[in-house]
Amino acid sequence: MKAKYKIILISFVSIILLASVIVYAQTSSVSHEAAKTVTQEMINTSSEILKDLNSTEAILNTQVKYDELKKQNIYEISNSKYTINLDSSNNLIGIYSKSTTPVTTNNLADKNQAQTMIVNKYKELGLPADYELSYLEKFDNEIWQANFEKNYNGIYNKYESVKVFFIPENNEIVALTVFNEGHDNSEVSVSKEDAVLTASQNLNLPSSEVVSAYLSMEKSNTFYDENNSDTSVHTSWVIQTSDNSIVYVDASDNNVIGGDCINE
Amino acid sequence: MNKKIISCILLVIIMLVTLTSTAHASASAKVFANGKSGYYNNCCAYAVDGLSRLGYSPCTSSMGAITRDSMLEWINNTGNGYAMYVHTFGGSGYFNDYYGYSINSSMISGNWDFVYIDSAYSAATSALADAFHTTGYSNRCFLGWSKSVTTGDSDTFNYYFWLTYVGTSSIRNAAIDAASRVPGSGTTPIKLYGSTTYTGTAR
Repeated sequence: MKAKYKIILISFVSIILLASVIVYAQTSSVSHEAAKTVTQEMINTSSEILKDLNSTEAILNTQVKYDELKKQNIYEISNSKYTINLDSSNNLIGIYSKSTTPVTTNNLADKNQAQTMIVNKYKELGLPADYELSYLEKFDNEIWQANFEKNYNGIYNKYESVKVFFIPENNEIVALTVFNEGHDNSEVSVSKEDAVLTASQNLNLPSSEVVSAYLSMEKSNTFYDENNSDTSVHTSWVIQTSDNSIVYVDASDNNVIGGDCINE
Repeated sequence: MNKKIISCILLVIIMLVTLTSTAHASASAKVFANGKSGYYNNCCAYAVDGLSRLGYSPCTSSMGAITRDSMLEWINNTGNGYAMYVHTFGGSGYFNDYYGYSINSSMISGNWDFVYIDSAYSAATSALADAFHTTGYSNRCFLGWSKSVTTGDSDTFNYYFWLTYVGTSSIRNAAIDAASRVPGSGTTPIKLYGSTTYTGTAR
């Protein structure tokens, strides 16, 4: 009989505990969600963008996702064809299709036609006017890729750019991402030879093992220094060696700011 | 009373046996990642997540000093393995284990639904895609890189491909959406062989 009471008591306490946990979880979730919701203004902006994309299907879903790589909330608005990504200030940061329309015409677009289509679409979407077309190539049998990047005295910053995949024959955007991270504004004061020397010393290789060196904008990273907390964009010398190692050398102070390697 | 307990135990055993047999019936997947840098471990975790969401069960992984034998054992499995992701070094028509030993198309057999060899030039030709028998079918595809790719760009691509886009559209669309999220021209020469409409979902 005593055991029976014990079981009833334990069950009662367990139910109370479980209920408390559920109520707490719901309350905390509500307060968390309140801080990040897709607003009507964002829906209106997305509707305008979808109109520019000739996608008149109704909006089906909205959600807020946290992007671990960008360390920011992404506001997603979707219809059956596209997902539009906006930042918290209602700026367009991405267009991603869920399907593509097959090309039916036999008159495939040439490079000039592809360029005309994408430059017009770029303007229609109100994308940054100070980015210039820096790359235009065929990606596969149907899809082309274009990049619009900010030009700093002949050095393009890929972190201030728009990367877009599209089908010119269909006037169709397949995927588009807006990158908007400025660089450190520093001048190039390190020579190629000095940067090569720094990189080869860092890798403990002779300079003769360097196969290429060019100026670029690169993000500092932890590739050669796990304690490096800098993630900003620097004007850098990109030095590649014969063993497929890559070293980023800051073009203003000759310090190694990060690197990478080719997966070959 | 004893009869009731025995009945309950038998019922639980029957349920467990049923669940186990169901699990064995679904297609499984395996992820291999060469442990040369932290990027590889990230991609391994992303792939396990993505393949699991596509319904592959179990989806197991092998990270670190992966060997050619361990990969060939999986490639030549006669069970329910239908998907595979390998993140390693390689070239056109081959990919390497941790120690640099290669697996080329002549060593590959079986009928695979979804294979993604994440190494430079893995899709420069259709050799690997053909060897895995992923071409010429409506529900199979092969993903790889047609040119060189850095581990950093591959890491960013895989983050978005596996965690954001896989399962929401075809593998082809998921790959292009993810490719657009990696900054730079020519940084993501992703290439698909096989079905352009296959979503990667487990059979």
